Amino acid sequence: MSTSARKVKQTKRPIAKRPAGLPGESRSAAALLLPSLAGLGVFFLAPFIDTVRRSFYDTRGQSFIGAQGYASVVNNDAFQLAAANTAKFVAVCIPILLALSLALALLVRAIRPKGKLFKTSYLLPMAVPVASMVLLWQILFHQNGLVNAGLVAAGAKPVDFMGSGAAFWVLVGTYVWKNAGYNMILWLAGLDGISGSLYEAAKVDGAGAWQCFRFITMPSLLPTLGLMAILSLLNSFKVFREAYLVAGPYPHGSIYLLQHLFNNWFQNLDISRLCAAAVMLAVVLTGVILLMQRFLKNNDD
Amino acid sequence: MKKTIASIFSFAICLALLFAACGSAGSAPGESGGAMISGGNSIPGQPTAGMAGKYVQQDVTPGGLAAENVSIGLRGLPDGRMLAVVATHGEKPKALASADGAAWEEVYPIGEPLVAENPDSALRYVIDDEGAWWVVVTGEAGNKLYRVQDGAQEEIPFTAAGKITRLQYGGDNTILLTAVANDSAQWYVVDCAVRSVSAPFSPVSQGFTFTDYADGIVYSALYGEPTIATYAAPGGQPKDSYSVPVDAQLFNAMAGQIQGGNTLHYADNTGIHKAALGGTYVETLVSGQSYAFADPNFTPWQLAFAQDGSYWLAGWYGRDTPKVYRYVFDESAPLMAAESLSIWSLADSQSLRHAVSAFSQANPETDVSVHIGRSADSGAQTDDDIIRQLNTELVSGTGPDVLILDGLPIQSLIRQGMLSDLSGLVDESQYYGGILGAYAQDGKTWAYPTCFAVNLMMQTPGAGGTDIESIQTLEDMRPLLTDAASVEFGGYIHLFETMYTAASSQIFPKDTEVNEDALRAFLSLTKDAVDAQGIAGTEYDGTFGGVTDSDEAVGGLEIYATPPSLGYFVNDTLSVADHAAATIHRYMDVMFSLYKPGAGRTVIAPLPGGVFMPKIIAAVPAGAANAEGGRAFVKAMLEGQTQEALRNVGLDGFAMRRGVDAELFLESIADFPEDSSAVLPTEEDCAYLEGILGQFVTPASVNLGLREKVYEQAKRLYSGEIGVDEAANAILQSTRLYFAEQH
Repeated sequence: MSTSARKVKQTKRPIAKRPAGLPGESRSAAALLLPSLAGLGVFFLAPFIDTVRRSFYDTRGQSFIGAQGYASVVNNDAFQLAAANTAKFVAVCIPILLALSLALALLVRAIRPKGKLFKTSYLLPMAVPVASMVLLWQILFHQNGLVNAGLVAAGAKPVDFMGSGAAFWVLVGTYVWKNAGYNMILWLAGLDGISGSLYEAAKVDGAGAWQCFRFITMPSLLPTLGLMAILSLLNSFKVFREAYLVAGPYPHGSIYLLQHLFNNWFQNLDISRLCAAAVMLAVVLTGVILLMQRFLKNNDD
Repeated sequence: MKKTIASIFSFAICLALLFAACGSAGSAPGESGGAMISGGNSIPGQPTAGMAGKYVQQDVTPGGLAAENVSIGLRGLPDGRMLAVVATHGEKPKALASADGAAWEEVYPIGEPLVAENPDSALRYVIDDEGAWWVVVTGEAGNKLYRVQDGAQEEIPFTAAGKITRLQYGGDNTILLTAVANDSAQWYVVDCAVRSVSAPFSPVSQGFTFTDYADGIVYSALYGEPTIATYAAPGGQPKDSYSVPVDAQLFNAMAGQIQGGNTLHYADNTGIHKAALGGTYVETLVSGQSYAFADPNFTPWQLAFAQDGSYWLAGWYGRDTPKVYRYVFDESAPLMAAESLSIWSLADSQSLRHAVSAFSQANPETDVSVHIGRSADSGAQTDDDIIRQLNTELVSGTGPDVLILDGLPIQSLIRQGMLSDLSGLVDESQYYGGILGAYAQDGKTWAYPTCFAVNLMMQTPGAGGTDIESIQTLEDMRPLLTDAASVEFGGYIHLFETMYTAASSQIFPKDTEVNEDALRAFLSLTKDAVDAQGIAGTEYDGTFGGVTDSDEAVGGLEIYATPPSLGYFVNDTLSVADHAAATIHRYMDVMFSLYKPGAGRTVIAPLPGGVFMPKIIAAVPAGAANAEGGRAFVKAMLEGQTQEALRNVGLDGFAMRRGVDAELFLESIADFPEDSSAVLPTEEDCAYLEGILGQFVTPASVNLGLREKVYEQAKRLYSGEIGVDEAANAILQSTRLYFAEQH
C-alpha cells in the first residue's frame, strides 16, 4: 500500500466512526464550561431576568405597572444628575487613565531592568484597602487637611474639597491613582506581544521613534486597548465605594453617581425604579461595549 | 477512554465545587448581622426543626411567698430533692424540700427563736450537710454566727470586719461568708464539721460582682471585666484567672453557678446558658420568650441544678414577688410551637422586651423570635447596612411578621406598599387619637406608635415672665431661649434636640420636601440661643446632662429635656441620631413637678406645633407569613396589659392608651402618708395632663438621615465656622438629592 493510500484510509476511518453529537474535545470543553455557565446563569442571568421583570412591577412584585418605572426614572432629577455625573466621570477618567498608564508602561519598558521597581510601586495602590484610602483621602482633602495646610502656607485660600466641585477631581485622581498600575501591567503585556522584528524592519526602513510608535505600537495595541477600555469602564463603577465611605449616601452633587442613587433607592425600597434604572444602565453599557468592539474590529480589519 | 473518564471526573469536581459554592452562598435570615432572641430551645450543633422535646417551665414557687422581703436560697440535695431556704424579714425561716416542685415539705425546722431575739437585725441563713442551720445575725453590735440544730443554739466565736452580706454553701460541709466593709471585701470559710471559721482572705481586686464557692475554690468575677479569678479556700491563695465569654456587665444581672470546676452556668434575661471557663463559646440551654426570665421585670437571683437534670431558678418579679421556676426537659413537648412569630427591630429596648414577654406568656402556642438589627453580632455594620439586609428580606418575601419601625424609612415603606393596613385593629377612642393616627394616610392606618415622647414647657403660676400658654410659634420662644436665667441648656446638642423635634415637621413636612423658611428660622433661633447661653463650645455636658434648670425666681420655666435614657442594654450605641429624639421623661416625673411649695398647680404647655415623637412604632409588613399573628402582637402592644407593663419601665415616654399612666400613678401614691407636707396630685391633675397630651397632633420627623444632615451643619453654625445662610444652603444642597430621589 502506498503512503498516500494509507493516509486516505487513516483520514477516512474517524469520519466514518464519529458518533453523533459533540466531538470528544468539545464535550470536555462543555463539561468544563458548564459550572461557570451555571454560575453565570444562576447568579447573574437569572437575577437580571428577575430585575427586568421587577422593573415592570411594583415594589412587592405583585402589581403590573408597565413602563411607569422607566418613565419615572427618566424624569427623575436625581437620576439625570447621577447619570450625567457618571457619564462625565467615565468620559474624563478613562482617557486619562489609559493615556497615563500607557505612558507609565512605555517608561517602565524604556528603563528596564530598573523598571521593576517602578512597576511594583505603581501596583501598590491596588493593595491599599478602601478604608485606608478613605482615611488618606480625609487626611489630605479635609478642610483642615494636609493639602489645605499646604495651600494656606503658600498664601492661597483653602479649598472645600468635599463640599464643592473640587470633589469630582479628587475622585478622578483617586480612581486614576488606584488603577494606573493595573492598566500599566496590561499595557506591558500588550507591548511584549509585539514582535521586535517589526521595529527592526521599520528602523531599517528609516522610521523614527514616533513613527514606530504611531505605525507599529499603536495599531498592535488596539486589541489590548479594547480590553482595557472595557475593564476600565467596569472598574470605574467601583469608585463608588470611596465616594460613599467619604461622603455618605448624599455627597456633594458633583460626585453623586448612579450607584449612590441605586443604593438610596434600595434603602428606600424603591425597587421598581431601581430595577428600571439598572436595566437601562445595562442596555447602555452593553451598547457601549458593542460599539467599542465594532470600532476595534473595524480598525483591526 | 482515559480522556472520557478524566472529563467526567473533572466535571464531577466542578459540579461539587459549584454546589459547595451555592450552599455556602446563602445564609438564613438572621445568621449574619443582628442578634436573635430565640423563641425555642437552641442547642448548637443539634438539629432543631422536627426534633421533639424541649425544656418546659414550671412555676414551683412555694405557697405563701407573695410577701415583701422574702429571700430564697436554692441547693440540690444528695437525695435528688431541691432545698429552698426561705427567709422573710421578721419571721422564722423555713427550709423546704421538693423532688419536682409539685409539693414542698418542710425540713430541718429551725426551732430556736433567733428572729424574735434579734428583731432589728439582718439575719442570713444556710444549711449544712448535717441539716444544721448556720445563721449570721448582723446588727449594731456586729456579726454573730450561730449553729442551730434540733433546738440547740450554739454561738461560734467569730469576728468579722464589716457586715456579712452573703452565706454560700460550698460542698464538703463548708460555707463561705462574705463580709464587706468600706467597699472592701473579705471572705471566711466555715468548716461546719469542726465548727471553726478560717482566717479572712481577700480578692485580688476589691471590685467584684459574681461570686461562687464550690469544692474548696472561690470563684469571683472582677468588676467590669469578663474574667473570673479563683482562690483556694480556706487559705485564700490566688489560683487561676479565666476569661469567660460573658459580657462583664452581665455579671450584675445574672444568677450563676460553677459546675465541675470548669463550667459557668448562668441565667439572665435571655435564658439559661453555659460557658467553659477560659472558653469562647456560650451554649444556650434554655431560651424562650414565654419563659419568666425573658420578662425584663424578672430579676434572676439564684440558679441551681437538680440531679434529674432540671434547672431551678429563683428570682423576683418587680421588687416584691418572689418566684421559683423549674425547667425540666420534656421529651414529648414539641420543639416548635404550632405558630411562629418573628419580630424585627433596629434597636433593642426594654419596652419591646416587655411587650414580647407579655405576648409570649399570653400566647404560649406561639414561638416568638425577636431579631435586633443593631447588636453585638452586627459588628461594624452601619444602620444603612442593617436596613439594606432587612430590605432584602422584605423584597424576597422572607421578612418578619412584625416590624418595629423606629429608625426605618417609614414614609418610604408606606409609599412602596410594604406595610399592611391595620385600620380598625383597636378602638381608637381609647387612645390619644392625634398620636395613634400618626401613620394614617388615605383612610388607612399603616402603623401604630405604642408610646410617645413629648417636649413640655412647665411654668410656676404667678412667677412672672413670658406666659408659656401664649407661645404660639417657635419664634415666640426666642426671649426664653436667649435668657439663660429662664431656661438653661447643658450643651448645644440638647438645645438642638429639643428644638429640632419641635421644628422638624415644619422643616421637612411629611419627609417629602424641605421648607427653606422654616429651616432658616430654626437655625437662626437656635444659633442665637446657643450664643446667648454661651454654650457654643459645649456639645454635651456630661456632668449635668441636658437637664434644663428652671429659675423660679425669674421665669419659673422648665423645658423638660432630660436626655433619653438608653437603658442598660449593653449593645445600645450612642450616635447623634439615637440620642436625638423627643424628651423622654416619665409620667410620674411630670406629676410630681405639678406642685411646688407655696405655689399653685404648675402650668404645662406643649412646645409650639404640638409635635410629638412616636416611639416603638409597630407595623405588619405586607405579605408577612403570619400576618394574623403580627396583627395580634401589635394589638397586644396597644392593649392594657402590655401598656401597663410598658409603664413599669417608662423609658420610652407616655403610654398610648389613655388613663393607663394615670391609673398606675394614682395607685402608686395611694399609700403615701396623708400628713405629707407635699401636695399630691389628684385625679383632676391627671385629667389636666391628659388634656395637654391630647393637644399633640403632629408627629416629628423621625428620618434620622435628615436629622444628621441638619445637625452636621448646625454644629458648624453654632461653633461660628459658618453663618446661617451657609448652613442653610449646605443643608438644602445635601437634602436636595434626597428629595429629588423621592419624586
